[in-house]
Formats: sequence, structure tokens, C-alpha cells
Amino acid sequence: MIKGRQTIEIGEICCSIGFEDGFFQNEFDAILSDYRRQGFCSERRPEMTITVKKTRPTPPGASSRNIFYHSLEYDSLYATLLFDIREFRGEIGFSIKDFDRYTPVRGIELIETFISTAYIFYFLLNERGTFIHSCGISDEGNGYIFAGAGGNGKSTIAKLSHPRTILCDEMVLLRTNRYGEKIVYGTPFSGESESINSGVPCNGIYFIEKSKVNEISPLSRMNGVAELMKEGITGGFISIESIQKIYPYSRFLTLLCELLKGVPCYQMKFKKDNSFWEVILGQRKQACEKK
Amino acid sequence: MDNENKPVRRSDLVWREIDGEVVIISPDNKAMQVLNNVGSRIWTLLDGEHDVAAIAAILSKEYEGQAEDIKKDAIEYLSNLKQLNLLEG
Repeated sequence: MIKGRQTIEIGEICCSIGFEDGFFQNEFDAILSDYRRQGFCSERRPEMTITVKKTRPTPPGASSRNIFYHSLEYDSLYATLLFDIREFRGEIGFSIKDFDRYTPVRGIELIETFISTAYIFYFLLNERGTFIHSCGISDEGNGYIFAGAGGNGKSTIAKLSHPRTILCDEMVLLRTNRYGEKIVYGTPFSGESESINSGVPCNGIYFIEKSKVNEISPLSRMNGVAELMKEGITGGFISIESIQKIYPYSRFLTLLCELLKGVPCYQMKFKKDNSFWEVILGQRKQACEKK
Repeated sequence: MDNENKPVRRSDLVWREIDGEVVIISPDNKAMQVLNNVGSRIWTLLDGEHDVAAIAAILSKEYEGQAEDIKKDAIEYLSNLKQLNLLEG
């Protein structure tokens, strides 16, 4: 029996999460209260469903092309996820590997990772967008993405950008909306700062590097695509390599080329203070005046 | 790389051209190359229909420079692409 279905929303797409016989439901409630506070819970009808189960799903048949199946060991747990990429329905099941070391927090981490995996599949397979390992900031309704690997300064940028709105300091969604606009959304998969469920038009993507000076230089769309391809898709269970049969490189490349159309890309070296914003906004003002 | 040779892109590579730039991804090792403007133009000619002389002749029409220098640079560039394992054979 599935209990306690809750619906979350990321990038205007909803996912319902249910718990078989309440398994993990209490533990996950703490995460949901964070999601609720940041605006990521919804009453809307979901486009996806996920069920958390007490047993691990069996492998699908060889002919099941629409099923993504992945098993892993994580700390004291075995977990298996199964996701129907046509129906956008999935389940995650657990078994305890080491009762002495077992702690529910690991299961919660896996559930949250699975949610991000489901969303990644949804946006990729509907050719609408991708998650980007980055910090997203909204400045008076204009969105800026600061992308970079761990340690490059995403969390630092978030903290230095006060009082601007932090969409998320770890992972944002960039997608095309129904009007063809490129919108950057916060996600609940944050690092050190709170996120917010909000989407704003994307004014630029900045590939960041800490420095002693502020320097921003434009990148071609193709170089922006190459930078995003290098980072791949973040989301825990999956990488672009692991889902080649479902979503090949060629398709991801096409998606990124379209997504970055009209979104300027830059290489950005920044000092550890908020002066980089003067450079960004100064360049934006110049660009607007030229038009 | 001689004049009779008609170099061909590897068929298993994933690549796209946008705004005169080409990005190439090798599925086996995820290696990525972004080619500059001239390199991208050469890449589009590696369809097995153009030998080195033909490639150099097209580039001479489209870019400034002495024909012999352009040919020499084209041969060197093709050699680099071969070393990067981006060509058939």
C-alpha cells in the first residue's frame, strides 16, 4: 500500500513521491519540510511518479528498452532504481547490507539522488533542458549561471552575491519554456545556501575560476557547449556515458547547441569580493546600449 | 599525406557545426575537440570526396595567404587530425 504521496515541483514539472507502507516516509519528511520552505512542494497534478519500496525491483527483461535499471551499494545499503522512461514512473527499493552500520540518512540521500535522476531524464528526453552543476543567481529578474567543478567557487559566488536572490548554489536547471525563452530555475539540490523555486530568463553562463583579478571574456556558443559537455550531467546515479543507449552523445550535443542559442557564454575569473558584479552588469549595460 | 589521398572523418564520431565552429566528441574516450574557423572548414571537407590539393584550393579561395603556404598548413593540420585519431584509416 502506498502511503503519504507528496508532490514536488522543479522547473514547473511535478513529481509525486509515495512510500510503500510508509517505508522511509517519516525520515523523508524532514527533507520535504525543507522543500516546502523553499517553495518546491506543489498541489498540482504530477508529470512523474516515484515510489519508495521495501524491496528491490527485479531486473527488467532484455527487451525492455524503455526501462532504466541501476543497482548500487552505498554505505550500509543496497539500492536499486528502475525508471520507465516512457511513462516517467519509477521505483527505488532498498535492502540493508550492514545492520550494524545502517543509518536511514543514507537511504534519504539515495532517494533524493533518484529524484534528481528522474528529473534529468524528464528534461533530457523531452528535449527541454538540462541540469547544470552551477550556482544560479537572479539579479532583478535577470538570471545568471556560474558554472564550474567543485572548488571553483560556486558557493563563494552565492555568498558574495547578497542581496541578490540565490536560485541554487549547486545545481540549476536551464530549460526552454513554452514560449521558447531560456529560463534558469533553482533546484532543491543545494550546497551551503538555501534555494528557491523560481525561474528567470537566463542572461548568461559564466564558467568560473578564482583569481586575483576580475576578467570576463566572451566564449563562442560552441565553446560554451564544449564546457557544459565536459561537466556532463550531474545527478548522482547517472552520467551521460552511462545512459548512452537511452540518450546518446549526439542527442545531448544537439540539445545543448539549441539551449545555448541566444544565451551568451563567458569565461570569468573573479576576485573574492562582489566586484565581479560591476563587471557583469557593466558589460550587460554596454551590450544593451549597442542594441 | 599525399595529394591522391582523400581523407575521411571517422564515421563513429559525434560532431556539430555552429557559427563556423565544429565540436567533435569521440564516444569511446569522451575526448572533445573544438576546431577553430579554418579547422572547422577543413573538417567539413573531409567527406572522402576531396583530396589534399582540392582542400587546399578551396581554402585558398576562401582565406587570405599564399597558395603554397595554405597547402602546407592544410597538410600539417590533417596530419594533426590523424594523430588525434579523428580520421579513418
